[in-house]
Amino acid sequence: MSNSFGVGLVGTSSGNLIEKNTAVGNMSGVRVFPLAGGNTIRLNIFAGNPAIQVSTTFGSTVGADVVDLSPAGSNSFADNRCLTYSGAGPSPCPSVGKPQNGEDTEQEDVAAFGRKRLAFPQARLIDAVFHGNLRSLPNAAGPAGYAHKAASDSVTVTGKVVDAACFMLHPSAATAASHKDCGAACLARGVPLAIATDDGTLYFPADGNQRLKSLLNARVRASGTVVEKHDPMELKMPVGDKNQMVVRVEGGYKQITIETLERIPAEKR
Amino acid sequence: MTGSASPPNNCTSFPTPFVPEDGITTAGQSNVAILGPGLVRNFARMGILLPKSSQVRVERVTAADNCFSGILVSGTTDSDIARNVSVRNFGFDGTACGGT
Repeated sequence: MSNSFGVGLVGTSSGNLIEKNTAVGNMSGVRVFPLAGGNTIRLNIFAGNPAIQVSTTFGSTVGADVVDLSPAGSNSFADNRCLTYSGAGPSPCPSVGKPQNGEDTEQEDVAAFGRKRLAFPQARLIDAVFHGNLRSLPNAAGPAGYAHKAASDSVTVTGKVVDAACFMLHPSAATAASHKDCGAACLARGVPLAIATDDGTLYFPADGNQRLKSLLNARVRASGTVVEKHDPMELKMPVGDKNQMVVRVEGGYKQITIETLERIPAEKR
Repeated sequence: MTGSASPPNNCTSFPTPFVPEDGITTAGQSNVAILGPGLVRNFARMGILLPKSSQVRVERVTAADNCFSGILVSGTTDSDIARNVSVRNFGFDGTACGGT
């Protein structure tokens, strides 16, 4: 039987992203072969694979919307629309409903951010865009010369060390254990870290990531002086090799000059 | 761009002879972008073939009525296949009756 499909992942294909495609009327919508691993297949529409006359003539096993011949879990399927599936499972099909697309997701992100509001009620996400070139390294610092209030007395904050850019878009995801690897990758590329307290307030360390980098996803207690910055801040997050996402925050943020910092062991939480 | 096949007619037969008529192939190259909108159709083998390549981007291309696959990723890594349409890609060895 032919290997005729909409999108095929053959051989040792890995690290590929199959996203927002539509495959209709092929022998299979997407077919992942046994040695393909580490690929992400998401937000696609696979339907009518194979066409009904093909199923009638050659049997229903000739193909499916999603055919996954790789070991279970070796590739990631998420939010695809499909009806039929063949593979080791768990089956991502049938999955029907409103087709998702990036624009919808971005709107949901903005809406979610609007509900969260961080520490400042007036804080808002005013931009989250992809730029064509990644020319500058990510930078946690705001522009020089910004105004700020006088430093407060020493305070103690308790919270979790998070990837700040991700936290502002997906607070629940950024604090999940499953985000640790992703957060570590962002950290390696300079994305700023912050301490997120239980009420969602972010405290950015005045000295950058140096002291927090070994504590990503850990719960910590930090003491020091806190100042409120009021000029806009941009958090730049690498996306792939060529793009970056810029999360711009207006309305202020808190910066802490850490004097003491300790990890809170699990039993004390 | 249009190939010479009209599935199920004039398709590459398997295993021999195996005429490699593909619409677009990256042929092992890296850092390649195939950007639509555009239509790749009626090729005797693949619409778009990405063999042993890396960092390839295929976006907003429609692959239709090709004899094998619309888009085939073979031994390729770190590539993005996004916002394409792949429809009625099959036809050889008598399997064409429903889709074309």
